[in-house]
Amino acid sequence: MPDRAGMGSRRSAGRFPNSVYGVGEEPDPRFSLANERTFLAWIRTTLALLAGAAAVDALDLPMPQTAQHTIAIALALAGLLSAVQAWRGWAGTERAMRTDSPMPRNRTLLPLVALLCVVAVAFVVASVAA
Amino acid sequence: MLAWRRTTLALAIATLVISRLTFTSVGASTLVPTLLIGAGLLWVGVVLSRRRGVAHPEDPYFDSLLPDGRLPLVVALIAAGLCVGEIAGVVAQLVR
Repeated sequence: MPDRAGMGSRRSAGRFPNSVYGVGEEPDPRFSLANERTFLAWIRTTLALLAGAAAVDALDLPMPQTAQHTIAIALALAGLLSAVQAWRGWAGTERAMRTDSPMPRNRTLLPLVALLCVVAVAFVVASVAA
Repeated sequence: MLAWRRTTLALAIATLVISRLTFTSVGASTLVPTLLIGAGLLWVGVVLSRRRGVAHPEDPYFDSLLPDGRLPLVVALIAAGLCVGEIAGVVAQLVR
C-alpha cells in the first residue's frame, strides 16, 4: 500500500492542468471539495448577472433604449469577469493548497464591485431621467 | 455532486434563454455556438455520471475518475460563452 504522498504524486500524472497538478502533494479532499463549491458559487454569480442582463435586454423598461442596452452589456461583462474569476480562483487556490502556500489574492473582486456600482447608479439615473 | 448537477441544469436553462433571445437579434448563426455549448453541457453530464460510480482505488480506471481541472474549465468556458453571446445579441440590436 503506497503512502499518502506517494499516491498523490502517482495520481497527479495526466491530470489537467499541469500548472496545478504538476506541483505539490494531494491536499485533504475536504479542502478540494470546498474549493469546487467556491468555483460553483462564482459560476452561479455569473448566471445571476447573465439573468439580469437578459432581463434588462428583454423587458420594456421606462428608460431610453440605448441606456437599457448599455446596462445589459455592462451586466453581461460583469458576468464574464465572474466566469474568469471562477476558473482563476479555482486553479490558484488548488495550487496553493497543493504547495502549502498562502491563498492567491482575488484581483477581480474590486473591478467587479466597481462595475456593479456603476451599473446600479446608471440604472437609477436612467430611470429617473426617463 | 448535487451542486455540480444543479449548476449544469442552470447553465442548460441559461443556454436556451440566451440562444432564444440572441436568435431574434443575430439570426440563424446563433445555432452553431448553441450546439457547441450544448455539446459541452452533454460532456459535463457524462463526466458527472461517470464520477458517480463507485470505484476501488486499485481499479485500472480509478485514476481517470479523479477530479481535475477539465470540468471546471469547460463549465467556466460555457458560462463565459453565454455572456459573450448575450453581449453579441445586444450589440447587434444597437447596430441595427
